[in-house]
Amino acid sequence: MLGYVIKKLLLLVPIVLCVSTVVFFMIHLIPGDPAHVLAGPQATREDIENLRRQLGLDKPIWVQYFTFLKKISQLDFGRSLRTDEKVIVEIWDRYPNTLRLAFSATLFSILVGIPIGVFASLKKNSILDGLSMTGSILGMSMPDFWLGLILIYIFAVKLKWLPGIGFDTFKHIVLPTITLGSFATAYVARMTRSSMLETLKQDYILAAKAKGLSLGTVLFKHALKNSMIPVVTVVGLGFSVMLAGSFVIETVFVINGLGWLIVRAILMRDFPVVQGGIFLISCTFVIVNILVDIAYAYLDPRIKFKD
Amino acid sequence: MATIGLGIIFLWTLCALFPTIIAPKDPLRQELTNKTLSPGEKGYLLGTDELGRDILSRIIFGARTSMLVGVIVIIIGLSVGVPLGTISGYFTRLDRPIMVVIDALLAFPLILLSLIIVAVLGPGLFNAMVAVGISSIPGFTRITRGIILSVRERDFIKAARASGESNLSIMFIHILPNSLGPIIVQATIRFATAILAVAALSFLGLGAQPPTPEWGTMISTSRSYLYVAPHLVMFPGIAIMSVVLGFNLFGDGLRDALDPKLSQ
Repeated sequence: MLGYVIKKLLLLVPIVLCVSTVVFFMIHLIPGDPAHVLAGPQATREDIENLRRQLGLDKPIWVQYFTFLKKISQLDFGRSLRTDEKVIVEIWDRYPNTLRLAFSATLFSILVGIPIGVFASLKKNSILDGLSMTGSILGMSMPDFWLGLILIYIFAVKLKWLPGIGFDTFKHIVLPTITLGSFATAYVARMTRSSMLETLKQDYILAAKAKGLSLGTVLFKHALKNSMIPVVTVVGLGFSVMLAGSFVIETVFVINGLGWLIVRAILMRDFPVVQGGIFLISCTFVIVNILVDIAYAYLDPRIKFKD
Repeated sequence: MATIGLGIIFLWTLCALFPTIIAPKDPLRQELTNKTLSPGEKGYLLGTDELGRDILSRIIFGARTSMLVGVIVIIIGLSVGVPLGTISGYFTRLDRPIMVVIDALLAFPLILLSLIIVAVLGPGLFNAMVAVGISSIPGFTRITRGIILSVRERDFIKAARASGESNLSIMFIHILPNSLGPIIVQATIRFATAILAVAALSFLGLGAQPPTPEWGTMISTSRSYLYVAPHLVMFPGIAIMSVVLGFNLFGDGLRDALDPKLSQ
């Protein structure tokens, strides 16, 4: 197991290098002259040349690349073109909020999605099963930003139970969590249901029942653990999706997170912030995926030998 | 269920193809004396928005934008993803390098990949469609490759190879037509996620720009009126949900029909 973990962790280095390369090339893929585009339509020739020097675009590309890699290794992403604040400060201040939101939404999807899925699988083809599966397909069809606004309207405007904006207290976390977690909850419920149905058909479950074991023992000791393997993968990947989804949710609920910063930076063409933010989010994805791989290998040891 | 989905898709396709006939008013016409009217007031079935424009007409015209989004994204995704997946599945030596890149891209959610591309190209509806389209390529590549790998070993392919047919002929005349089922299912479901993705990008201000009647943009510009005129936000959202639901139901039904052994 340890060997597998080390092998996976060593992959981090080349992957992070690839991510850095992609992030570096983003600025060079901008159609036209990047310095001109980023300086804006009102910029003078002098402004454009100053920006070109500031971003290092006047140097040969291989010099730019190695300078970029060197700076990234020191977590130096330059300065924001709009606020002149260090990019690393801007993104690091907001990163915890995004992580907090993604984590709580993932937890929500596990705590709500799995029981619904288990329940639906046990009561297959009943009205409750039909309702929960209909609910989940609706949940997967609904735009999350729209759901967020509807929840704000009901709970913040009409009922006044919860705040609609911000992220300071526990009460503030509730609506963004439900909104961000809704799609994943629906997906986890469906996945758990189908996984449980597959597992419950297996011979060893029949054997367990024949032995006279109670429903609870059959369920929790045998069925659930084995059904959880695909569900763990979905949840782990769900965290990545949640991180991406936070971009939209942070905008809806005006949460001062990394997603909101990146979106604003894209709109204002503040490229150093975009690069720094995308780099950090991408590295987070990579680490989460590796952790999911390791968890998966722990749950199903056969996986280690397939790689 | 699939029939319901198809019915929904059909209705919205009609709106997309004939908006000028179906919509009661001009979606861009502002009537500042009739701002934020409630549904049913003064003959406006779904009310008016913050600039006095008929919401029903804007939603009908928005169907055209949404359907166009789905079509363009699918065209981009299929035209690159399917050939790439076919090559990867058929030629073992090329499989590994192609799939290393594809798997790396698949690790990233669609919305993030799309965001990166929009960050480079700049905000705009067309750029958003291209971004989501390019981001869909890895998914189609992977599905196609998977099918090709399983069809490749079948007897009729071995027979074609034995009779001296060229690789290109085998790939595109024999294998691909027999692999279309799962690709079509993926395309149907991708149509739905494309609409959601572009609506989200438009909501963020990175996709369709006002005054284009696009459902995500409509929700975005109506946000500040949520407290006083929630119907401005409600109706475009219901429109998005119904189209996406239609495609999801139809895609699910197709998948079940194509392989009844598969449980969900």
